[in-house]
Amino acid sequence: MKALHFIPRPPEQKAGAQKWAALAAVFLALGLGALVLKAAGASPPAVYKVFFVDPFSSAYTLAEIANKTVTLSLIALALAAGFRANIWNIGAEGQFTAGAIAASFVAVWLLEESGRWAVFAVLAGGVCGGMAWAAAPAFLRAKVGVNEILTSLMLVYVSLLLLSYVVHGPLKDPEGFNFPQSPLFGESSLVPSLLEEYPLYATILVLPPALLASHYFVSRSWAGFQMRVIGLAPRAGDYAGFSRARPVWISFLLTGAFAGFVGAAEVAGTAGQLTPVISPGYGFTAIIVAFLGRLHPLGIVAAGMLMAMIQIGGENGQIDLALPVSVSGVFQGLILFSLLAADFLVHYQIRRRGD
Amino acid sequence: MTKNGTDKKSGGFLLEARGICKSYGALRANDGVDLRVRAGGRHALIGENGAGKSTLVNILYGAVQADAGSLKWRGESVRINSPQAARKLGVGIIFQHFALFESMSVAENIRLGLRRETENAEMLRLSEKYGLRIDPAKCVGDLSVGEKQRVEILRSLLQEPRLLILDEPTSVLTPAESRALFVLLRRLADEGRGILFISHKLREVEELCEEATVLRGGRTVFHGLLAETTRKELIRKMIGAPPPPPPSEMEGGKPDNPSPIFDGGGNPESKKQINSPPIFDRGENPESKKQINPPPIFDGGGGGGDAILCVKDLHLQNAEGGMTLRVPQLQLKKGVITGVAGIAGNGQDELLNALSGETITPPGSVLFCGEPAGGWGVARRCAAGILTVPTERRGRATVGEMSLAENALLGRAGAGGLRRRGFIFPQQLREEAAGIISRFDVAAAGADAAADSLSGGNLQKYIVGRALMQKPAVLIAANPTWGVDVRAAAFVRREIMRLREGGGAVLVISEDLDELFELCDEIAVINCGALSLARPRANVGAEDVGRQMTVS
Amino acid sequence: MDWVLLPLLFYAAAHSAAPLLIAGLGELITEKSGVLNLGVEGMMLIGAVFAFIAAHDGGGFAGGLLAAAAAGFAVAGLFAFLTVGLRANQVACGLALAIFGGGLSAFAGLSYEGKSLPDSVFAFADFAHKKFVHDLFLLFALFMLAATWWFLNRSRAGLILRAAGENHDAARQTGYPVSWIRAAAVLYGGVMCALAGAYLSLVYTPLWAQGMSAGRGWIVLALVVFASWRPGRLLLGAFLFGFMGILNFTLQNWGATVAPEFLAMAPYLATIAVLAAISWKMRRRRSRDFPSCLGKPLPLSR
Repeated sequence: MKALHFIPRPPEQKAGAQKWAALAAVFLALGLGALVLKAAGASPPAVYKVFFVDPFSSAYTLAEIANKTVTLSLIALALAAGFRANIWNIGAEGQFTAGAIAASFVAVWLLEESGRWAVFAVLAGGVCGGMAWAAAPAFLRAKVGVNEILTSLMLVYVSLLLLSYVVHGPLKDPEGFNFPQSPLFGESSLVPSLLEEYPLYATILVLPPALLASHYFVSRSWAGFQMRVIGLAPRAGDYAGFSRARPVWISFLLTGAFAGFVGAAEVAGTAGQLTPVISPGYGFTAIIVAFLGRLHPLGIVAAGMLMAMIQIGGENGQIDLALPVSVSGVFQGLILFSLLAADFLVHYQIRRRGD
Repeated sequence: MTKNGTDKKSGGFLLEARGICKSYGALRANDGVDLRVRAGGRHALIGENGAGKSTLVNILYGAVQADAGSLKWRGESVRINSPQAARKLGVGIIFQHFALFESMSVAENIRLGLRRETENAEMLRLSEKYGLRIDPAKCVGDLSVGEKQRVEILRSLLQEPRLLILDEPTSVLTPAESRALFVLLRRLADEGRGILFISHKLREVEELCEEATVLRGGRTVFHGLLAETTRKELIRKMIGAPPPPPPSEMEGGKPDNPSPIFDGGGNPESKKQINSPPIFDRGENPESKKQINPPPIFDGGGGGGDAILCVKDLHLQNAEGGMTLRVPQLQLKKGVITGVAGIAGNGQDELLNALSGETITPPGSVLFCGEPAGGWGVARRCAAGILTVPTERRGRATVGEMSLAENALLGRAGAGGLRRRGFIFPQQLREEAAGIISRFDVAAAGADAAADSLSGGNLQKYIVGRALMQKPAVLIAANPTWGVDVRAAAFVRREIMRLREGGGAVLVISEDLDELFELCDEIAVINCGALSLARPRANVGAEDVGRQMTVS
Repeated sequence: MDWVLLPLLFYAAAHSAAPLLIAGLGELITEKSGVLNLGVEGMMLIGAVFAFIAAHDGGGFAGGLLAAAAAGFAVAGLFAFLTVGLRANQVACGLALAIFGGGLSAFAGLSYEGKSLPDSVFAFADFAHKKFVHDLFLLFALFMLAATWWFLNRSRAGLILRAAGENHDAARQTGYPVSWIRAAAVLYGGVMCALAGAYLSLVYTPLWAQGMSAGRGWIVLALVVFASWRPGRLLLGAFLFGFMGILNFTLQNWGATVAPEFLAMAPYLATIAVLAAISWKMRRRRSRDFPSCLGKPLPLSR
């Protein structure tokens, strides 16, 4: 006979347990990560110093982290809405890329435009591109019943190839010495920086309203309520007469819009042009951010910040400690694994048999 | 069949259970159950839904452990810890829901069930011997329900069981299949095996069994030979003391109404045939074939304006379960509670879905105030004031992890002031929930308590209250007091009656006859997906309805 | 158009199909037991990188295969612990495995990027060099195809595996250890996916590059759906996608002037088209070979 058994945890306790599980998962992942680093011959304390301490001594790095946090959080906020309804859009990376491509077309078309409205046109182009890219898997899921995981992911690869085609073909800078990249965007098409000396992009201004909007969408809107019901108890959704297709459309278009927007902001900000590589995997990292943030707006920002730190740390560590950028991918995976393991304790309490 | 074969081992009981108790939380599913089955005996276990039959069966099969009580197997005390242990002793079981692998062939299912390789020859020999002919290469998913059952029985027989438990085996069978099953069961008993036959259908019990144990409320209320009792007595034991029937309904009394439909007493056999609409005629009974469709004595259509929701000639083929819903006529009228009696799984879910709008039907088959409403979805029907209270409280009527306040938004007629322009308003939801909680006496920590934290009875009060607060034109409630404590049940019933007083039309679908007789003005019976015409309560008796429910 | 090259193209397509087939057979067994492992891409990458590292650092060809198998076993074990043991969400765990595999392989293989394998690795195949190793994998894939078919349709163990995926409640009720069966199936799937990755880094390319499986792991998942969980149709699907994979070479050979990016999109777009067609066909009824419990965690026993 087993000495232990598991009983479901009462729902009131789950919300609290979720937060602790997320924290525990981060520390577990850092512990496991130390083992991986050790195995790879790096010194864990030195690496963690680069990740979590050094950024605070450099305003430049802090600004960089803020920029990445904005990008990751905005995508994750939109993803979270879908995850609540059990809709798995894992193609945000593709929607990000599509947004960047569409925005670049607009920016190149407006190269000569000097009006400040140009940047809004560029961002709007990104939103439309992302939404169009997301509409395909949404249509297939809602109308034909195709698994959205695979379709949205396949479109990531398609979008990356499209990006490669675009920078080698239609958008290639004619005066760029045959480099595969677009011309530099016009000044008026660029997302301005809020600070003179560091690049802290104005995109961050979108984050607070987006947080509020997503909070209200989830907890106060009728559509958000329907999505929560369908995610928690599909039969209750049927009983209440909620459409099953609508959440699919909402979550995909929302993610497409947000991912496309930050995709546009990325090319019209950091880079100022379209290049063959525009993302270190924001769309995928955002999935982890959404989970680790427990689908909660503030949690997502916190998780986004953590992931941004790890990513920047990976980039800086490359220089300081000869550490590969990809170390952040290892940490992302470890955090997600730890979180999923810790979730067992969210759903179940362990009891001695006979209690 | 007679009793000559039974007393082969007189006195020696194959299985003896004494004082079996099992509680789930506050619910005492088994509260001192006694059961004795003889080797070679054909024993019936009867009782209403929730009487504790399935708990007992699970204990006998080792799937659930009893809290108290003793089990003896062939005179020796045993503990049955697991299904494997039960199988080892020689207990075979045929569940109502078969443990079969649908996409696999018959032969594969049998190989899996036996946990050892079998010679095809052995299987063929047995299937030949007992007349259980099934093509071993056929896929189980393609078999009829009766054939699936034969696979289960064959699989069980290959393990040489001494006791065969059959849980509602005929509920899924055609009459011809049932007859074949009985022939087989008699033969197995004559070989010295014990048969424990669990059923609602008293006619079948009388046909097959010699002995019976009746459970009610988790207790054994009767145990004895069937030859020494009457069907009426058994029904009384099963459903408890029937409510005092109206005078016209008393034994042998002739009603004032000359129509044969209202013949309340006399020969139960003849009454059945007259009462049954032709939908019950499944062709097995030559007498019933002769029966002419009785004139629509209680044609509510004549009532005109006061019928709010009408169903007419609704015929719904169910793709999966095979249960086809047939409703020739159903009328829900202002200020009238209509009851639908029937044993679970006879089409109640399909009926509820067709009325709530979860299943869309041909437009003309459902009329709301004369308007074709069959094509309306749930939202439109809710907005029109047709509200439902489904049987499944958790996961359907409520979302367990959400607060009561948020749950106030489900099953709601229109916006009801709780949402405007696509937004919901937590404070208003909380007030609404608090209103329901106080008005319907729901014991909850408050409007923010999760639905799952409430007991079944309080959650049901909340769900019924949620619907009643909206003053629905039509309320459709399925098993509104199922698994609810006595006080909450009485409360819910009282509230439903108040809705009637206020002019609402109510349909109560219930397995609890007491409840239907207490609440309803008219009662219809659903059996095998077919709904009979509703008749005034005054003109039907509990035993009469009970029999209609169990007609096979 | 040069029709003489046609047999050669088929040959090339078969080689491009081999890793899809190997990984697909592994995932097929995993899914047949009722577990959906979306982490194929990650397991392939991990197999690829560890095979390359081991082979490069003196382990030879066999050492590379062994390292890949061990690495696949280890990460699949982690996945099995979470999904089968702790009943974690299989979709989320699969995504985690895909991301983790991508990160870990890039991390581990960083210093091996752009390096080539020493010739000693292929010493055993000296007479025909790498062509022979290609064929070796193809033969292995075909052998495993036959073995998988036999296992699922003819063996008792295969019957029990299918039972666990078809109806886990009934399987448990009959007394089969559903969780252990599933764990074993996940581990086997991990090893096969890692071997498919080893083929990519040791033979097909042969070198290590970050993310070199290029979505093949995800295509494999679609292939299993396309195959309706039947090994025979998996061969057809793998060949079809193998052909898509060499489409750019093919069409260029035939003188088509399409941007290479669009040709490279073909496998991904074809995957979507195939999934849509299958879903449209199956929208009323599921395939008979669909494991009904796929993705559903076994309830904890009382």
